[in-house]
Amino acid sequence: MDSKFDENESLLRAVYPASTHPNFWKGARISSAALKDKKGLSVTRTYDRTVGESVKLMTQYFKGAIVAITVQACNDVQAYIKYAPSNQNKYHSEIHGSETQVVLSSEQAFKLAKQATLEFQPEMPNANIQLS
Amino acid sequence: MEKISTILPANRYENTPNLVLQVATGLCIFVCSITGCGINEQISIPNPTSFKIRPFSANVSKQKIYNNKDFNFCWDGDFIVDVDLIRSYRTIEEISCLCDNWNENNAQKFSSTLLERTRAIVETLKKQPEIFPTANESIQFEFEKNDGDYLEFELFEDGTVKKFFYSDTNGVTTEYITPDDVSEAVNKFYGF
Repeated sequence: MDSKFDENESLLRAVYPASTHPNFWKGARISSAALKDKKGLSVTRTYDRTVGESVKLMTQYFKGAIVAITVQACNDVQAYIKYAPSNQNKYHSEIHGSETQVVLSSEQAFKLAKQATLEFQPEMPNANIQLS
Repeated sequence: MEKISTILPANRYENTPNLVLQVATGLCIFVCSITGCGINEQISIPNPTSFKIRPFSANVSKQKIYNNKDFNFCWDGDFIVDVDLIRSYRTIEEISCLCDNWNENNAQKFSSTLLERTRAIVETLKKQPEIFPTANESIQFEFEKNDGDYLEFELFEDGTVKKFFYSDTNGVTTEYITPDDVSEAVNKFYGF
């Protein structure tokens, strides 16, 4: 595994469910506010796994809902994806605004939030819902 | 859980003296319980005289009915509750309860200065936004119309306000404005 991201890969992000605070949900979609982090937006790449396999592993370590953003969507908004493995998570990566700008721009965050698909909700553990 | 003791069902239009007294008592002792902090807290409603637009509208004498979406307040007195503004207050109160590391990635809690500025701005708005915290040291307002047009404001700790507008037909703009310009931008967005 290296810093090259295939366009077919997905990047998974845990988001607090609507029933807890802070609430980042607008109905079935997330607010772009959930994707703005001055320390870099932490995600888990799927790499050679399916989204389902990746989600299943993530639910062992993360609370809340899980949304997926494709590498293609990141490329479309010229976001920069940085592979940043950690001791706890060899799939850990970050989405930045650019190579020199950590935070996503308002436009990037807005478009990625619209593209994000809901892959897991804790209230429905067996569901694999994809909502646009 | 939010409790508004004076809400009447939409199909009731009678106005009885006993009911008026109950409503007056309820509005004078206006208590909202929130569970965002894990405890019941009373939201402090700022002094109405300091508002440009009051959460409680005065002088509705002779008007017995106020209709706001699902609520009809039958009232023959002085005050009407803007429930959308109260909802904004509650959201801001919830954001104020976020502690350091609230996003589990070392995001800091929000300063009282920013929270007060946020409250001051929502009080000037004719339409209330959806309000969200960000891990970028800002509080975000969002407005969205049915046609997909979108307006966003990020209120930063340092006092700056970033405005972002998106429209499928009219393109995208991002600019920095002053807090005083937020209200006008919202009015323009909705055509008020």
